Amino acid sequence: RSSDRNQPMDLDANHTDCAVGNDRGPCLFKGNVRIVQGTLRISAATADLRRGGGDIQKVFLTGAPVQMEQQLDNGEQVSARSSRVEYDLQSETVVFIGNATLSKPDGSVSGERIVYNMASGQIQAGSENSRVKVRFLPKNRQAKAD
Amino acid sequence: CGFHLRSALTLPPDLGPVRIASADPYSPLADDLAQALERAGAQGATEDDANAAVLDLISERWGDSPISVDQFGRAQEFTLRYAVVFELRRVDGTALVPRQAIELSRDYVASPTNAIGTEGEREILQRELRREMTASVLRRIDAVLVRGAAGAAAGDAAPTR
Amino acid sequence: AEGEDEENWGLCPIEDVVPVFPDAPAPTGDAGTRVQFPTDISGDLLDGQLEGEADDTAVIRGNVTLTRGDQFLGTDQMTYNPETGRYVAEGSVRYQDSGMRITATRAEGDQQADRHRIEDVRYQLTRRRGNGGAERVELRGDHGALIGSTYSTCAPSQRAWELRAERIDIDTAEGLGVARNATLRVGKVPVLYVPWFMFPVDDRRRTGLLYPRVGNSGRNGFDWRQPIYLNLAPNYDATLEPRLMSKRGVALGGEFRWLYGQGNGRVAGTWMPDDQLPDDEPDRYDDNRDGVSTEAERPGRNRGMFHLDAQHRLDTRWHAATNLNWVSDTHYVEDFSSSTLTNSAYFVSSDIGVFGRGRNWEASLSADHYQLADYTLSDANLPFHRLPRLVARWSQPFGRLLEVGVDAEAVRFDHEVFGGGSRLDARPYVSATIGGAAWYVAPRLAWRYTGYALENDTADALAEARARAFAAENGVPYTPALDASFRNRSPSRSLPIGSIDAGVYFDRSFRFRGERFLQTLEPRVFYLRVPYENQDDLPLFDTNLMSFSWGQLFRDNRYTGADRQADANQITTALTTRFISEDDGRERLSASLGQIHYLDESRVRLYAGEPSIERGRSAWVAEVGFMPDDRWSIGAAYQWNPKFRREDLASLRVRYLVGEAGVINLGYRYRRDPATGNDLLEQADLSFLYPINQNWSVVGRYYYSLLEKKELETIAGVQWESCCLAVRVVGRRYLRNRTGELNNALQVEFELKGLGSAGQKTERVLRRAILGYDRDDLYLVPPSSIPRGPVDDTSDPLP
Repeated sequence: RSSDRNQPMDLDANHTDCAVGNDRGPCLFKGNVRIVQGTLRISAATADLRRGGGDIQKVFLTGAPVQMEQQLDNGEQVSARSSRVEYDLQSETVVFIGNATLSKPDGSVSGERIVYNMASGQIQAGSENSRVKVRFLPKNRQAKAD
Repeated sequence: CGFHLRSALTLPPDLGPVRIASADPYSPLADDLAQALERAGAQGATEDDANAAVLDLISERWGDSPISVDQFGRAQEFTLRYAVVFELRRVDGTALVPRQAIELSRDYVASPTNAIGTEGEREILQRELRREMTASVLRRIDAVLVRGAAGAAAGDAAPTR
Repeated sequence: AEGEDEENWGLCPIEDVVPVFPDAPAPTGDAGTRVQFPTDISGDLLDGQLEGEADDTAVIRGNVTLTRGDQFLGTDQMTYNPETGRYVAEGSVRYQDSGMRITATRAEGDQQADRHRIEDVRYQLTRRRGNGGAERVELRGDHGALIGSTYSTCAPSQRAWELRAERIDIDTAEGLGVARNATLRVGKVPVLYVPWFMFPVDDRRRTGLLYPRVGNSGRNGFDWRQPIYLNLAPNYDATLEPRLMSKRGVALGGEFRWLYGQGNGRVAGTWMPDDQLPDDEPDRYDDNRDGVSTEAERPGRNRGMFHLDAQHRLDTRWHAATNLNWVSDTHYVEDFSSSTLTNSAYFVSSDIGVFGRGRNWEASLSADHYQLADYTLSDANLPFHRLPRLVARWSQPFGRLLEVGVDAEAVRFDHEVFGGGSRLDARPYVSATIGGAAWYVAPRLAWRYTGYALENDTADALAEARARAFAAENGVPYTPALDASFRNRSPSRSLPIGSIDAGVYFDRSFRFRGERFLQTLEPRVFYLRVPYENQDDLPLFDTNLMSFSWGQLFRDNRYTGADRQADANQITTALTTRFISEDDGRERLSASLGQIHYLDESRVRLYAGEPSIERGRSAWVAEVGFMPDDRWSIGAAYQWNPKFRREDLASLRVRYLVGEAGVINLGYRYRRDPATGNDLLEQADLSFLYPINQNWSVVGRYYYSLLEKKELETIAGVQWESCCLAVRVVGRRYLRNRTGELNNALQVEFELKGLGSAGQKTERVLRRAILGYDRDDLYLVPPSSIPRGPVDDTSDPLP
């Protein structure tokens, strides 16, 4: 949901190594990291937070694979996974890198690199030396999205 | 000079019952062949008997075409042709007598100005061609089986039967 | 109508107008099922909307491919709206589905509605040969419309012909194409403009029915026939064939075929409401033209023909069958036969009946009727109609030896000129077959009773003829009293027929050039004894002297019908030898020789004054058949009459198969007229189709009557065939009509392979003239390629 931005973001993991007071210090989470922000849910192996101005600006996640789920304003459920994710909270864009797949009830997009702007709903995918694949399910079979 | 009285048609023991399959359900040839094979000692087999050898009358065709015309272009001589394509397959489907065609024909005069009796002659020729076709099919089966029997008996070295 | 033979594209270079798309997956499913498949798109870059509102479109760039079921679309860039299914593809568009392959500059469409519009197209049909270009293609499901398009089956490098049409609609489900405002170009020359033109796009059952037949002849003028195929239902269909003859008017032909559980049938007809020919060329119909006495009056203006043949299975034993024919007048066959056909039928027969067969019996109730179709003959030459005819045959074996049975026939005859009457003919018999594998003796004793109930005028005519003959023979005046004494409305004849048929079989196996053969030697003896009974009081309904032949040696009657039973005290001696290959059972050579020894004179005759058979020997009958291999086939028959020391019959037929489709036939026929003793015919016939090389083949026939010193038909032709075009130039001199005049015809025929042949179909003529021109005619059935279809009797009454 576009309202997710203003929701609190909860992170938990097996163990964290995070310099609390100093924004520039590294802040790492390891071992089934889970992030929840409104309808946005992310699970990953590691998460590396970059903070600035007292706020979290970027999160770098890795996993085998990193999983993401979110509900859109029209109620549709979106899920995505890739080996690495870069979540830039300012621009509200999530970049999935490494055989990434993003799927919705009516279809899915997969490729090496998918950029998803949560504010505008815009998706860019593909890169010079890799292909992007889009699948649209026929109307009657969209109910049971795989 | 080597001639001897023909010996009985010895159907190979493993031939088993023989079923006649025919494209045309009303073909008298199938009945005539069935009776002839029974007289030669083969057991008949019903239509749906699966483990039976099949004498397959693949196709039968009659043709009645003019072979000579008079000076006014009217047909005056016809030839009645009867062609049958058949094969005899063992129970396992392998061909005992390979697929081949027999074509018999009889010529008859049909004068344009005196057409009475032409139809009658054609019917008589048709019956005679059917009898001759039955005999021809049997002869071909006999010739192949004779070799089989001779071959089996003498290891195919010399025809000493 | 005949289906076109399967086109052979063997001569075509392997050259695709639209090469196979390497990255396209093999099409799965077809136009009908494609909507149920997911749409997969892949490309280098994607820029799209996730929310997917109505107007949001995703743009995919860089070697984009879209696949759905059997569809594949490749392009440089595509915009696609998942909600509405609308897409636009630009830049080196490549489209493929189960029916065709297309390259184009731009394509747009709607996946949901499965509607597509492709511009600046080059296409190639995949299920069938056919390629070309189009300004625009509009596809909807399995319908496609090519606007401003070309169509041809030629390879691009040898564009022998091309059809240019303002619009071609292709329906791959129906397998039909309709071209509108089409011009046909052969080479660079526009040859033909056709406003509307239907052609098949796949080889379903309709191949060949739809091609327009275009011709030109002195009699018809410009002759254009366009068959229209109506696929009414899976088991019945119809063809309409409107025909325009510039000199004569419009005719409509039609044919309706049906197939159902118990049988099938076909009804065909042609109707020409207002034929100008009788008015334009009245001299064709004058009575005594060129000395040939014709009784035909001029035909009316409405002319036509009707044909119906149908079979219906009643149960496993009985089936009904009919074959009805009608022509409007005795000039119809000649006036409407295509000018290239020699038609030799002179009457048109119709029959209908119920036929039954069982293990030991056979029965039928049928009726047949004859209609005159040749104006040089008259109704008197027609056979008697048989309305109705009952035939019954029954035989019952007793043990392995004895057999008892009866052959019976009851017929009511009717004839326009000679009246009619009813006849019952019954022949109970008892026969035995004694013998084993090597010999047989088959005595047979039959009693033949034949009784009549004649109509008055037939009885009167018969009595008068006999009374006059009696008066002439004995020099007494012909008086009504004498006439009355011969009058008998219910004559009959009753006599025994005894015969013994005996034969012995000798075999011997031998090797010849490494192949094992079985040679048989089959002497056979046939003794026939029938007492004499004067049968001059019996009418002649369906009886005539049979052509003397090998079969005649073993028949119990010299005459065909029951009106005459020849008396006989004769014995036939005959010998047959055969050489049969033991590997495959094929009979390579068979030779037979036989003769009848008449121990007594045979006095029964057809009519008073006919010479009877004297004591002595009949003609020798010899027949030889020689088939050394699959290519050679030689047949000879010879009859030598020792009494007059002359030949009664000499015929030789040699056939050699050249290569895959070539054939050479050589024939010589001499026959003496048994009734008069003079020569009936002496003819020589050479015909060939000789393939010189892949493209060129030569066709020819020389059919000459040595007796009348006159050619009956001469054909000389050449055929050039390439990948998609066959050109036949055939010259013919043939008997044009019953006056014996010869007519020259030159035909040039372009066969646009896959589209049809413009010009008279010469193939039918050549198949009739050159036996074996189409291999199917050779053995009637090519052994190799036989579909297990129903039996078809190819003796159609109308050529």
